[in-house]
Amino acid sequence: MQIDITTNDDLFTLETKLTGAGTIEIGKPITVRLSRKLRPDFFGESRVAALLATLSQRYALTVCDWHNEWKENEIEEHFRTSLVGITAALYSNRLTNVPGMEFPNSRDVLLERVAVAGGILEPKTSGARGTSITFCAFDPDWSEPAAFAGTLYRKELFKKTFGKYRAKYLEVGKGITHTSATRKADDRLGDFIFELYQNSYEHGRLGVDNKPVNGMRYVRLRKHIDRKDRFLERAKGFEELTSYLMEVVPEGEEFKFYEVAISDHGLGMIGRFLQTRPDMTRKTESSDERSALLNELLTQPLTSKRDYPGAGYGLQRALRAISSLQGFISLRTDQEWLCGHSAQRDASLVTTGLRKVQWQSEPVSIAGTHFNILLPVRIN
Amino acid sequence: MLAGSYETKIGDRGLRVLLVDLQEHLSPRKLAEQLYSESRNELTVADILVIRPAVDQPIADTQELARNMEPVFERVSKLPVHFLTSHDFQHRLSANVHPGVNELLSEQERIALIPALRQAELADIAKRSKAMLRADGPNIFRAPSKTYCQRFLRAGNVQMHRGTLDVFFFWMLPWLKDCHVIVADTWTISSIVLNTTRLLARYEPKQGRCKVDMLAEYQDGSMEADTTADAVLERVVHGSQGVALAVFSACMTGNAVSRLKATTERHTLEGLTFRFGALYSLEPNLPVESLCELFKEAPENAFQHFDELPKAVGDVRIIDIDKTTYFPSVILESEVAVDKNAAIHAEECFKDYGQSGAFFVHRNSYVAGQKYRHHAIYPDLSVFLKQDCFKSRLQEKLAQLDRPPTLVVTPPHEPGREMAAFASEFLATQHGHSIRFWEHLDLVFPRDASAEEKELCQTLQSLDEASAILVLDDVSVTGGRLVRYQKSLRDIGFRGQIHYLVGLARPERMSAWTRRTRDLRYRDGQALKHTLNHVEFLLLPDWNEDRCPWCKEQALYGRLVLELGELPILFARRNAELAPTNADRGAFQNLFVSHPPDFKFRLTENSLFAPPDCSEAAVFAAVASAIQRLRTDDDPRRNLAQQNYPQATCICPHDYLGNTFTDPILRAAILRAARRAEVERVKGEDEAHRSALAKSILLADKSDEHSVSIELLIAIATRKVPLPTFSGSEMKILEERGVAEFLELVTLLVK
Repeated sequence: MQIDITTNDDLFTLETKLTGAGTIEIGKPITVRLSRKLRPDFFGESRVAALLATLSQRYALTVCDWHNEWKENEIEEHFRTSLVGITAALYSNRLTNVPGMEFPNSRDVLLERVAVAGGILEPKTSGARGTSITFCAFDPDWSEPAAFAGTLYRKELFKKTFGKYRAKYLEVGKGITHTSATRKADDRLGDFIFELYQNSYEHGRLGVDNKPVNGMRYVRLRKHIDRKDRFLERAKGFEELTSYLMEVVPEGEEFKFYEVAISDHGLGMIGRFLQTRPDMTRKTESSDERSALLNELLTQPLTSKRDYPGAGYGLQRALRAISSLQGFISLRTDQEWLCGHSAQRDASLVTTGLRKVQWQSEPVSIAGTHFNILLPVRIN
Repeated sequence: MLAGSYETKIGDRGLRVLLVDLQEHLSPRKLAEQLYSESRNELTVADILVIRPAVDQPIADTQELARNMEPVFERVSKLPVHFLTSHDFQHRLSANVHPGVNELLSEQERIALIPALRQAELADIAKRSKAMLRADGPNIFRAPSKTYCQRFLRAGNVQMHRGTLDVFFFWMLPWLKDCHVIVADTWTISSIVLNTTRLLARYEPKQGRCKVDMLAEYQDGSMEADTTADAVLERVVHGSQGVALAVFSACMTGNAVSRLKATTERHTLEGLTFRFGALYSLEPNLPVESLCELFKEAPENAFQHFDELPKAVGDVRIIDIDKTTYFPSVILESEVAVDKNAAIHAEECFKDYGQSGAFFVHRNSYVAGQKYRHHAIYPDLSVFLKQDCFKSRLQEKLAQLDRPPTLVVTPPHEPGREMAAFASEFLATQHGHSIRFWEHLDLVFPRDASAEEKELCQTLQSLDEASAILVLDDVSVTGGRLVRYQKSLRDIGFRGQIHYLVGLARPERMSAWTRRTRDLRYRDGQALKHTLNHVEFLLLPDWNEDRCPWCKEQALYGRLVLELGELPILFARRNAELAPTNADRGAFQNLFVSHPPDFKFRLTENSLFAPPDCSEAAVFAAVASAIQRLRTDDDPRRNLAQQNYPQATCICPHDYLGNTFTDPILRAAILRAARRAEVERVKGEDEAHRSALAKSILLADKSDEHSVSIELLIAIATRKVPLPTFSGSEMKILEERGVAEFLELVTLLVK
């Protein structure tokens, strides 16, 4: 079977293609033809990466780079520095181009090169600042990006480090006048990224036997500066996101968003919960039951560290930070896709959690947990 | 967040209090998160949490504050929470405001706790700020009073940061009612008194202006000092009414106070009353009240001053204290060798376990599935427990228990579980019936306790005075967890005997363990005291992330990536090895970076520290233990501890850069285990000598010699060793060896 991922695919088309792959028998070969140029939709690249990870866990995956000719430097650059490129290289059994040439480098060499770059993808280091930066960990061998070395359990150090990268690679100049983010907002941004990053480490890298599985985890920060109409174009088909943008983005002027993606390709939140808390009986047969459990996990201290007082508030904290930043959040895990926003900065995100994304179909199971967050930067 | 964990006593009752400041910029939620992430260890052993809101506001009613504390109650789910506030210049400690936890203290106890907290907090500040200068051995201070002493308190050191200034304001409040003048005895505490007047204006704006001034020098009764004091007082009391407060940094004999009192009499105006107070008193029964009786925290007569030299003149070296800055006039530096005397206390332990693979470094411990803390040195009791010698010693200890335990309690983690299972099985064989073991973090039972917890609680409550339980802990650093168990057991009304048994006691100081033993054995009114035993004992530094040498190495890689955008592959791989996924499962084995990479660090025969073929971690632990022994040495000439300022002791450079030890692994281990202040020299020529020694290692011909090149560069990057300079031809040698690339990176970091 062949799946084409093209320049025109939005999030829902990608979901449909993933659903379509479900008809194939597990273990059979599948080829994904992957366009290098993807739609600039919010959350798009992250979803393609998740799709590739999911397919690789079920089928013998070949990824075909939709390119006729590979030039030596360009190919290295593409697969080593882009999120979708590195995911394709990591998860595919074979990586080819249209004429069928095999990718000349080994996966290990490629990962080593990313590790040498501190686990960082994408940043532009000279001239104008870039628009995105991704920090990757590859389990089991490169499990902590050197850029974040030693920060996993040190929140303030992590936030400081993250802030420095943001300032260095994504912003021109320093201070509020340049970044439009107040110190307080910057602090809250760091807060929830840390919580979700730590969560992905503690849960997203472990398999059914509670041991690390081969896979990738990442934190990605992308900057969007545009006008309202262009933003709405990027959210096409995503009703909840559209209505959020309508509320938040002013007419007729340039606006700035940060898009944050924190993803892993592990068991997923529901799978992990069922594994770690067999003592807590929760039904997960229906979509409503699964959504309810996810919201319970997001809003209640249902920790896997059951004997440790005060544990289990990490996700709540993250939601609270997103809420106070007037953000939009999408959570895709297992067979669920939830979203919510706090355009009015009310507390509903924290108290009631997220709602199911309105879509004509039901999402199929996806590998891992994917938090995608959109935050207006002009906030205080 | 400012937080301090203090052990206090109210009557006979010991109490561990975690005191935190809810500073103006912190929300309760932020405070809760910081408590959870930064004071997790302290929270698990504390009895109560005391929150002190911003000190510049009087608070009549804490109910409003309590309503906002829900985030704190969530994260601190088992501890009573109190507010330490003030109103009308009087301190107050609220009743417990945590709705989910029962009150622990009576009203009388709360009142008594306030001065106890003041004493503990201010003594702690003096200790942490190294305000207590010590002259040991042949050295003695000549204080500004021209008397001689072995210890001198330089109170000005306590001004470490804004937080401590606010703390002093808070505790001085009862002195400040109607206060319109403050005169400090020295400029060295000027920040404290200036901050006090600033906060006073916010605390009680109606009180009006409070003038402030400082005396220029010690009140030694000389004409100059008297004249200066006159001038200051005349200026400051002009037109003032109410209270004029004279604050002394520290009071030893009361002479300076008496002299200033006499001087103030010449400046008394109608409606103006002088009041005298000292931040610290160094002797009992002085004619001035003080905030902290520091003499209680030191050995008897520690601060004693002598009018004459207590020793024959030829035997002593006098260190003058400057009478205006209160700084010692010289720094005395001496070298200490990491020798057999330092290593001998741990010899047996490393002989028995050094080759077993029981030691690890740079590893996190987990309790109840939660990361508990980081350990620079991590002895794994699961491995100890596999050794025959440990098993037989443990059995011996269990067999010696004078009363067999009814049940066993252990913390909820793997090594504790294994040790408890072993002990239960052995005891069952001994006594012919099964003995159940329970895992519990702290024996604090919340109102919504699980059925299993309730059963444990009821069982413990049902045991009579003639019964006993066994509390097992795999490794104990401070004994804090055992104290927590002890207090919890007392709180639930447990009446029996407690046997505490620790697999490995690893305190930083012998004296600390002795004190802990005494406290834990105490049992009120019973013939059979509680018992505290350990199977093995080892002095080791207790270092978390802030001091772990490998965390510091990780930070170097982080900095390099940020500044250069990439790492050499050697460092990238090294960083991966240092990641918690690797280190926390005990897979980080190559502690030292060898160069060339295939060079193997190993200990040869007849080492002072450990047998040959020990793991690198065991060698490091043995060296770190020896250095830790030096930090606590009774002989001041061999004591590496920093509180001996101005007597600086440092490790002899030949131990790690010279030829004292020929095994490269020992050089590498000392470089990692020593702190910067323990190797850095005061004099420029001594630093130049160290730099030359480092250079000779980097350029040495033999691979054995330069195998520590990268380790040495890491030491340079962490500023333990000064950066040498190299000529063009020398750089060529380094280039050929592949070291020049790393030297350039280190140069970038250091410069």
